[in-house]
Order: sequence, then C-alpha cells, then structure tokens
Amino acid sequence: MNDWQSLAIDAASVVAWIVIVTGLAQTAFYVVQLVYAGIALAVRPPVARASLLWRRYASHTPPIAVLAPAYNEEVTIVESVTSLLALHYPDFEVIVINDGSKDGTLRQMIDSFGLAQVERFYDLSVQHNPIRGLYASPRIPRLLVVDKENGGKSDALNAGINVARSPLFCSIDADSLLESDALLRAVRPFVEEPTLTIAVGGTIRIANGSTIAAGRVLEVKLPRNFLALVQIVEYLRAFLMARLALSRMQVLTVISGAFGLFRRQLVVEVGGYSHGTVGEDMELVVKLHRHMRDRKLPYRVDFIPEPVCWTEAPDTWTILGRQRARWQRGALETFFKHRDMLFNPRYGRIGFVGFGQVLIVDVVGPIVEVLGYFLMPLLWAVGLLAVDYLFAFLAITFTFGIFVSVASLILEEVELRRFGSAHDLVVLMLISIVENFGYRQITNFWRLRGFWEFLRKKQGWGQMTRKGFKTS
Amino acid sequence: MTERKTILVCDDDPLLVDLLEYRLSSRGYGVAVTRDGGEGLAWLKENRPDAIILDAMMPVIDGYEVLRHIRENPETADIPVIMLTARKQERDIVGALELGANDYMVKPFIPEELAARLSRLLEGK
Amino acid sequence: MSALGELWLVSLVLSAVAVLIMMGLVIARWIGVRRGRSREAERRRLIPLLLGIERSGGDYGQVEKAADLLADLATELIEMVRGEDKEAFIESATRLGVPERLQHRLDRGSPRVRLAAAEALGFFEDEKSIARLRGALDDPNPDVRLAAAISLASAGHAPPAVELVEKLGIGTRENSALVVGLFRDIAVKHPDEIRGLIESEQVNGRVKAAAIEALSASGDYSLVPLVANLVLAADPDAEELPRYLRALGDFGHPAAARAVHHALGSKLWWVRSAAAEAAGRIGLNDVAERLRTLLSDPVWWVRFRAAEALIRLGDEGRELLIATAESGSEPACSAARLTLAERGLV
Repeated sequence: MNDWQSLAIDAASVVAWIVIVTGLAQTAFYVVQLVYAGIALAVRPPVARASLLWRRYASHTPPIAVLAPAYNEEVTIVESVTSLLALHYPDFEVIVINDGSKDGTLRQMIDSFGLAQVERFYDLSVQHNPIRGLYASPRIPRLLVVDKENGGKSDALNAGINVARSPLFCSIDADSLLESDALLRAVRPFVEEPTLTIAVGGTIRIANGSTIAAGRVLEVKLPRNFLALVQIVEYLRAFLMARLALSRMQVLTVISGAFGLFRRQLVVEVGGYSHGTVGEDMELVVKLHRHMRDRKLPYRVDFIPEPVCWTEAPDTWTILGRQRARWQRGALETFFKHRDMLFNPRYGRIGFVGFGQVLIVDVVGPIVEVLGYFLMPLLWAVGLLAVDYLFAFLAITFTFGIFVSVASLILEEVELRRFGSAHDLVVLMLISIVENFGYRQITNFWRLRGFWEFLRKKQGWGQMTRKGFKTS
Repeated sequence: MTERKTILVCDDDPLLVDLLEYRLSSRGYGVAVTRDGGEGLAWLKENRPDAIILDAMMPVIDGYEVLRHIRENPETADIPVIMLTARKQERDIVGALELGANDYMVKPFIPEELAARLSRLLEGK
Repeated sequence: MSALGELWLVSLVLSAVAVLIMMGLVIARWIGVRRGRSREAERRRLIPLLLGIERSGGDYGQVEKAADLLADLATELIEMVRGEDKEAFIESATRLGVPERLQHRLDRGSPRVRLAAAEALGFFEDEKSIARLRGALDDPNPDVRLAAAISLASAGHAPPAVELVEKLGIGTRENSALVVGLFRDIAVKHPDEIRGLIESEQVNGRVKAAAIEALSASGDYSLVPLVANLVLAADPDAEELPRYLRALGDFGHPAAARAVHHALGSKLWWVRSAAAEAAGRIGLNDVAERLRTLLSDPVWWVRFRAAEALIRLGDEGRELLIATAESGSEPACSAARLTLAERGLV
C-alpha cells in the first residue's frame, strides 16, 4: 500500500514538473521577447509623422505592387479600391484579382473606373488557375484588374505575383483596411538594407469599435464587445511583443496574410503561395527562410511595429473559436510540413529558435496547459501534490500571463500611443488582467480543436467566417 | 470692392492649409477649407468656388478621385483646379492633366508661384 | 520556501510592478490630454509668428515656454515650401530661437528625437548648428549619424566624402539607399569627391555603385567609359553590376556599348535583364539581334526587358518583334506578340 502510494506521488510530481517546466519555458521566452521588443523599439523607434517619412524616403523607395484578392465583393469593392489608390507612396500599382466572383465584382469595377480589356505581357512562373482577362484605364494608370477563374486566396495572389512588375509586392486581404502611409512605413527596412531585406511584416490592429469610412480607420475607439476587446490585447501581445522581438532575433516565421511586403523574385523562386493549406501566409515565410538558408545567402525578414493595417475581428464565440482552430491547424500544417527544419543546424537559428518557439507555443504548449487545468487541481485535491506545485502552476497560467499582457500594453503606450484616451488605457489594462481568467483557457480548448482537425486532416475551410475574402 | 473670389483649399495637412489661408486672404481672396476629399465634394454640392487648390494625396478619397468627380459633374466641370502633389513621377502628372487638372505643382512648392498661377487661371477665365 | 513557491512570489511581484507602471502611464496620459487642449491654442498663436505676419514683441517669454511646439511647427513649415518663403521661414524660426532648441534636442533626446533634430538642423546654416551636426556624425545611433551627414551635405558643409565613407561605414555597416541622396547632395558642390569614390581603389563596389547612381543624372559623359570599365572588370557575379548597368542606361551614351554587350551574355539573369534595359535606353541598335535571342530567355524578366528594349530601338526593333511574333517559337513569340499588343502596335 505504501509502495503504491509513493509511486503515485512520484508519478504525480513528474506530471506536475512537465506541466510547470513547459509553462515556465513559455513564460521565460515571453520575458526574453519583451526585452528584445524593448530593444527593437529603442534602436529603431517608430516615426510618428508621415510627412517626415515621405521627406526622408520618397526619392529612394522601390516601386510596390499592391495585390488585393477579391471574391464576391460587389458591395464594397469600389470603395476598397478607391481607398487603395489613395495610399501615400511615391510609386505603386494596385492589382485587384477577381477570383472568379459569382456576383458583379468585376462589372462594378469596370463601370466605376471606366476600365477596358487590355493586353499585358506577364510572367507564368508561379502556378494558378487561368487568367480570363486584364482590365485597365489610361485615366487611372495605377490600377490593373485581373479576372481569373476561382481558385482561392493563394491562387489569386499567385496570379497577382505573375502579373506584377514591381520588385516588391504587398499582399493584403480583401477586408484589410490599410493606413494611408502603410507602404511608406513598411518599406523602411527595404530602404535601410536594400540588398538583405526579403520580406517585411507590420502590426495588424483590430478595427471593431473604431470609426470607419470608405475603407479607412478615421478614429481609434474601443469596441464594447468583450471578445473584440480581448483580441485587442491579444494582438498587442502577438505583434508588438512577439513578432517584433522575433524579427529582432531574426527568427520571424509568420507575416500576416492581412499585410505583408515581399521581394517578388524570391517568392517566384519558392513557387509563390502554396495551395491546399490554411496557413499559406506562415508557410510562405518558412519557405523563404528555407530557400535562403539552403543557398547560404545572407538575408533579413523584418517587422515594423507601427500599425499598418486594420481588420474586423470576429465578435461571437462560435466564429472566433472556428478562426482560432483554423489558425492552430495552419500553424501545425506548416510545422509538420517543414519538420525537418526543427533543430536542424543547417537552418541555424530558424531551426532552433524559430521552430523551437513554434514547438513550445503552438505544438506542445496548448496540450500541456489543458492537461494542467485538469490534473493539477485534481492531484492536489486527492493529496498527491504539495500546494507549492499548485501555486507554481497558478503563477504560470495566471500571474505571469497578466505581467506579459500589461507589459505589452506598456510598450504600446510608451512608443506608439495609438489609443484615444486615458479611459481606453484603463479599460485595456483591466482586460489584460481579466483575460487570463477564463478567456485564455477557452482559447486553449479552441487550439486543441484545431489539433484534432489537423489530425483528422479535415479538408477545406469549413464554414467561412471573415466577412471579406471567401473561397469556394 | 468688386466681387471677392473664393478659393476652395482641399488638403489634409493643417499647417499647409493655414499657410495658404494666410497667403490667399492677404491677397484678397476668400478661402474655404475642407480637410479631405469627401468633405471637399460635399462642400462643392452647396457652393461654387472660383478655383480649387487640391492636394493629390489625401486619405480615403484622394485628389485624383475628387478631380474625376469634379470634372464629371456638369455643375463643377469648368472650375479651374490646381493640383498640389508630392509625387514627381511622370505618370502622376500626366494622370492629373488627363483627368482635367488645369495646373499642378510639386511639393515642396513656392507659395508665390502658386498665387501667380492662380491669378493667371482666374484672369484667363 | 521552495523554488516553486518563489515562482509564485516572483510572478506576483512582476505583475504588480507592471500594473503600477501602467497606472503611472494612464495618469501621464490624462495630464497629457489636458495639455493637448492648450497646445491647440498655442499653435494658433505661434503660426502667425512663424509666417512672419506678426513680429513677436513683448511676449517673447511666452514663446520660450512653447519652444518645443515652435520647433516642430517651424520644421514642418520649412519642409513644405521652397524659394523665398523658405528663407523667410528659416529667418523667423532663427529669430524665435528654433536652432538652439534643435541643438539641445540633438544633444539630449532619445534616438527618435535626435534623428528628427539632426534632419531639421540642416536648414539652419549658422556655425553652431553646423558644429553640432558635425558632432552628431559620431552619434551612437546609425540613423542619427546618417541624418546628420545628409543635413550637412544639403547645407553644403559635409566633410570630404572619403572621410564620411569611413566614418559612417558606408558600404559595410551602412547600406541604406539614402546614401545615394547623400552623395548627390555632396556632388552639388564637390562632384570631384564623388567621382573620386568611383575611381578609388580603397572603397568597395557598393560605395562605387551609390556614387555612380548619384552622378547618373548629371549628364557628365566623361563618367561613361569609367563605369563601362567597371562593368568589364567586375567579378561576373558582383551584386553591383545591375546598378552599374542602370546608370549606363541613365547616361544613355553609346560609349557604354561594349560593356552592355558583354553583360548581355552574363550567366546571371538579373545582369542580363539590366543589360537589356540599358541597351534599349541607350539605343544600341547593334545589339538588336542579340536582344531578339533574349526573347527566348528562360527568365521572364529578361524576356520582358528585351522586348521593351526592342520597342525603344524604333523601327528596327519593332520589325524584329513583329517577325518574332509571326514566326518565332515560344516563349519568344508570346513575348513579342503581347508586348506589341500592350503598346497598341499590332
């Protein structure tokens, strides 16, 4: 009896240690990220005034092609394109890819902008469904519309890449609301390190609650919906802390599909966006890392902390849950597709830190944490675990979580100051505390659902959630 | 005093607007100010200026789009427009003229020159 | 207490500290918003002063209080205009003490503040400002160093180019595209210094490429043989080759013929495409046949540049394109046909 009991206690503490060490590794990495993010902001501080950026960079910026995929957007397309054409950048073209819409998306554009079918000599290097026609107007020389057969977002972007003639392209979602100076801000690393920089991401913010007119966020205001509020804090943590820090370490493996700037030729060399994955934005960046490391070429994948793009976040539990499950599945698909890069010395810090980070945060993390929620209180309740373990677990899941969230908010307020008032800051601070009790746990369950879907190799997009880009 | 000419200034840069306001009113013009393209078009529905100074780069609806609306509307089609633009590319300048701008100036600009071109446009009418 | 227990304590302390800092920031913001309201009133008062409509008389003390706002407004205003107005704004800003404020910022601010100050100080050509900018060439932040150099150059007070290359690590640590603008500004007064960089054995290809780009709009054709020789002598996979070739295209002078011809045969596609582009811009009819063969290049960019170049070559090039479109094999046939169609030349 005694033997059995001590064995049980040993087993319980082993489980507890696994849970605690995994959580601690995550927390430790977050703290490191905070430090790196702080350094990044100090070394390359965000520029507040856009006219200053113009004066500084305008005569030295490379042309950019903005690639905007559109599927069944007839209501909003003219407004979105007008707002894209109003971007503040010296030299750019807007390429709208009508991905076989079933509604009048193409007709709306032709009528409103006075477009006519044109011929253009374009590349055929990356794969996509056939292009049916190209449309342009001499009165709007920056606009080109590509009409193609439906193939999904990756497919539409690939067509845009082939048609683009600029050295850089910027891929966006149909429902991305860009800041006027987004391109001017994001191009900065390409100006500062023209030979090394191959891709740049930027901060995505949540538009819910803000005043929006004609495809622009005019005034930043907080939403009243709890889920939208929590996501504001989550996005701050993901972009201002995690991605900024990872780029400072030069191990960034994701650039959001809502806004990313890429060197066109290199994306062509890796075959463009992959078909048949839900995480095509992450997968592209991983392919670029692999390509450059395989060729032993020096390069940089960078990130700028300034908000460049706003997106409408899901504000119901069901839709948010589906989105998170899909993100989780996307991360897993990319991770396992490129698993040979993990801890592979050939891929240097990408293999160790970049993929190691994905392993801890996206692969092992959610499983172990959910395991902890059940086992730790249970084992303590039946007397198999000392109370110290329970407190350590609470520290990892709750109090360190509060620290990391509030610290991200501090970074935002010190360096960017994009929120409207002291009142908003108080609300966000309270949310950063509250989200650790309940919301965080639920997101972990959603991630497990993503895990399950990944294992079952569930195909397709399921019920599509975004009001913007949809695919068949 | 003969009739005072009204100039609509449509620009999102408050400092530039201040500068033009001081300079143009000191030359005896009446100045109306709108801060973005949408506001400018709304103002034009109710009023008729003698000339328009239009910034090419404004958020939401840019100067080119505003100009297109001005020229497509028979009520406003004949109002002289000077575009102010920070872009120096040929295709932007050609684009502006193609859309029916009477003149354009590249920023940074010379305020005296703008005033001179403006008075020439107004006399030419 | 065990290590595990300490973990709990550490986490509590950390989050408490974070919350306290955040509360401090909230209070700071609250005060800031209240200040912002009076800022707008200040702004209204300062703009006439800067525009020179009112002369500041007895209320100079009040101007001092708003020194920071004044410096910001003055900088923006000066950036906005050219000509006499610019001079007038600089004069009123100087009278109101803006250069001193900027000098102060250059000495004491965060990198962001120092950078903006270094950029703005270039408008003021008084000795003190120039001296401070010279000092800022040793700033710990590379962006501030570069900005100080650009400001000095645009004011015509830059140290010799060779010295700047050394000091800023241009071509090694400093690879910003802004360097081309810096060289261009220096070349306004001292074109010989930038030319010296092209001829120098001491600097690397990146510096040479930036120097060439800075002078490529100058119309100084004596540079063409120099750049052409660099192309011929360069390592076949040197990263600067496309930049050299683009500059040759900018010059548009036929003395570059041999270099362009040589580069058309490169094994690297980006060199071939840059050479094809240059050939078109210079109008090298001798290479028309060569360009025609590039219409079947495996890389699209080369085919595109070759087709564009043939269009630029006038009748001879167009006839070659038409012939290829009618009877050539793929991919040359499509390249020729679509390029002609795009220009409405079918």
